[in-house]
Amino acid sequence: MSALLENFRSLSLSNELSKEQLALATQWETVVKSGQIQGHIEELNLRLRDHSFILGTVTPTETDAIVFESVFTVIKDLLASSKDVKGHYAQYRHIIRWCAYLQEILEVSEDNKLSLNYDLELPR
Amino acid sequence: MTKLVIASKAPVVAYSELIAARLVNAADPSSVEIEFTEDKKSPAAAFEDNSESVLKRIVDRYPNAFGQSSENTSEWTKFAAEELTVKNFAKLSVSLEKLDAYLNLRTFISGAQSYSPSDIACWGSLRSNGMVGSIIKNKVYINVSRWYTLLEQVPEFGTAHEFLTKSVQELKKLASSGKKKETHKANFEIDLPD
Repeated sequence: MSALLENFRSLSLSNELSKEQLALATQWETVVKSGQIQGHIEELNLRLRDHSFILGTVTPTETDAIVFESVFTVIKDLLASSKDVKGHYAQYRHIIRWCAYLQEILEVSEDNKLSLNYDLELPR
Repeated sequence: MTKLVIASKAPVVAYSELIAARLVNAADPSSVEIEFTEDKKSPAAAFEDNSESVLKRIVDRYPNAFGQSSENTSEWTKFAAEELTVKNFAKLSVSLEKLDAYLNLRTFISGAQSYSPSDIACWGSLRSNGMVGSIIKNKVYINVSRWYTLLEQVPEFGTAHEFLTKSVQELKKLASSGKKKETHKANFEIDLPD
């Protein structure tokens, strides 16, 4: 088990999941396992546009922790390498917000964290 | 035990204060006695017989029931009370746009891991504003809608209105069952012109 997932379990957050949520969980975990997360970034961003957490729960679930683990580096690379930082902020704002939340509760070490400009003006 | 009185017929129903009191009671049962009044002359909310800065006084009195508030709570409370209760669409749009921009990269207004008094103040004001319902539903301000529906899932927020209606109904039932005879008697004592 990864350190991040271990950190998540130590939080003892619990959410009762509906069948639909369980199906979504399986779907996203399959994407992670198959290593295809990069191809699902847009879909994830859309999901997180309307939901604070992937399964639409009130607090994060294990699915958030699992997906976070594989998406985090992708987002970090995107923001570190790009010339058009603001454009990427705007495009992936929902994933970025979700990453910013999860890196805090999962206690990502300071030097690994995304450092964000929270007040960057983004177009609507 | 402290007492909070909410006027159920106030032009702006004090949902923020009601939610705050319910959160206090959820953390420590029966800390705040919540009462309702249908008197239109009553202030929207009164805590310990004082209607000034009620939300702030509840939060200050029971700090353990609320998350850390690193951000400027008084500024957001003012924004909530003055701008989010406005029933003028053009004006309200500007305020919602501001809140929406603020929530671009934040899960909660506080920027912390859970809701704070600022979130409670803004959510409550929006709940009390009849114009807001369809705006939230239609996702005009996507970040506001996401944040609003997240908090709606917290029972103290989401069922605040139901709690109010039920309590007011009980109040009415109690009044009509206990005082039936007296009201009847009183009817005969009204001075009618000949």
